[in-house]
Amino acid sequence: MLLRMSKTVWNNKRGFTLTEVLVGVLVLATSIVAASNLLVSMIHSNVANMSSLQAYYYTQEAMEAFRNMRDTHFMHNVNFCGQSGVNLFGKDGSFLDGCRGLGNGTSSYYAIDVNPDPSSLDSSSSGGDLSASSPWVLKPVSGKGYSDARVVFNEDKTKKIDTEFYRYCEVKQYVGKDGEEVEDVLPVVSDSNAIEVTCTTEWEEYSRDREVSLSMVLTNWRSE
Amino acid sequence: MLVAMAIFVIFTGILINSYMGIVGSLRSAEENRILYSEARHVFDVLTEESRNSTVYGGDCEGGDFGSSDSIEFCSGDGQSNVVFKYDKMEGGLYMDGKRLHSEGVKVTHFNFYVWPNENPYSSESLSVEGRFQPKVTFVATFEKEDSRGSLMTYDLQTSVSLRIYK
Repeated sequence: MLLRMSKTVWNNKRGFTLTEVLVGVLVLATSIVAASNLLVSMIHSNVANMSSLQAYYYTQEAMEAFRNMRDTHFMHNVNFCGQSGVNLFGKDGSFLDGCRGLGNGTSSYYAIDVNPDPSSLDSSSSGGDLSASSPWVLKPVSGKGYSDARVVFNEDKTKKIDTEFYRYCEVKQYVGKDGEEVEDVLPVVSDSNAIEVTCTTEWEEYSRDREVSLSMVLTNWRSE
Repeated sequence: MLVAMAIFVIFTGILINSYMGIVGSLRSAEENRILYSEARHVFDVLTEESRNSTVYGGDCEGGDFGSSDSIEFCSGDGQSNVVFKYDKMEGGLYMDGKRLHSEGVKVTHFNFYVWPNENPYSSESLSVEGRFQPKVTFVATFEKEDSRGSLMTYDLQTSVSLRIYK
């Protein structure tokens, strides 16, 4: 059968009709255009990789901010999540509500801003409000906050550039995974002394929503 | 004959354009990958070196972050130090004199913000406003020219909370 077809093709003295050639060219052109599209999408994915890297570092920054705030709370001898009346990181002070809230199954979301030059602010604060000299500005947001959660690129201490990224963190009491007891996972702390912080950075790229999310467990290791 | 030539020319045109497009795209993708991997390397080194270090000197006689283009980290045990220096003229970032990225990639902007200005664990005179766990924020802009002469530019920013508690 194949041999017969091959003979037909090679012994075809009449050549090809215009329609046959046009169809052939169309098929070839379509396949080339498809291959080009594949490469264009490869370039897009490269750009997406770069955005993912930016988002990853913004997310990591938010995680580091929470670790830093916990350690600062230690320095001021207050609860590792903060304390009512001691506003170290903005008007609303601490992520104490998030830590408390999870005890009854709710959670809390926060946006984080970097203050690149705390020393330039007025530090003549009173009433336990030290937020003017804080390197972070912590803002509670309702759920996945957007307008309040836009990430700012601090090119220098005065020049702030709005980015396309939005960043928020969820704080909740750590409860272990798949039914694990917290004591099994973190033997040195009790369950009220461990919180889970999940930070997410979202952005839109080529009309698609994308996000990077990181999670960590923070412990009140000074309590033991 | 004319129709055949026209078809041939169209076909060849499509083929050549596609080939050029494919080659250009591959080159552009490769250059983007270089920029990505080098920017990531630089930031990974910066965060890794700073995490378990202090910027306030200590036993390794360093810890300088007074100038705007260099920062020195001392290890927690005070036995070693590492200096990052930014050369704005060359667009290069150096760690202990060694360039962290290739010549093709330029760091057109680099800055860092350390807070607080004094070590909160050892400074007796530090007011309560300055008692924050030390942290460093790094910001940088990476740039690379692609084969078509257009610039690829990316801003990166991250912060590190130092793990030294003394």
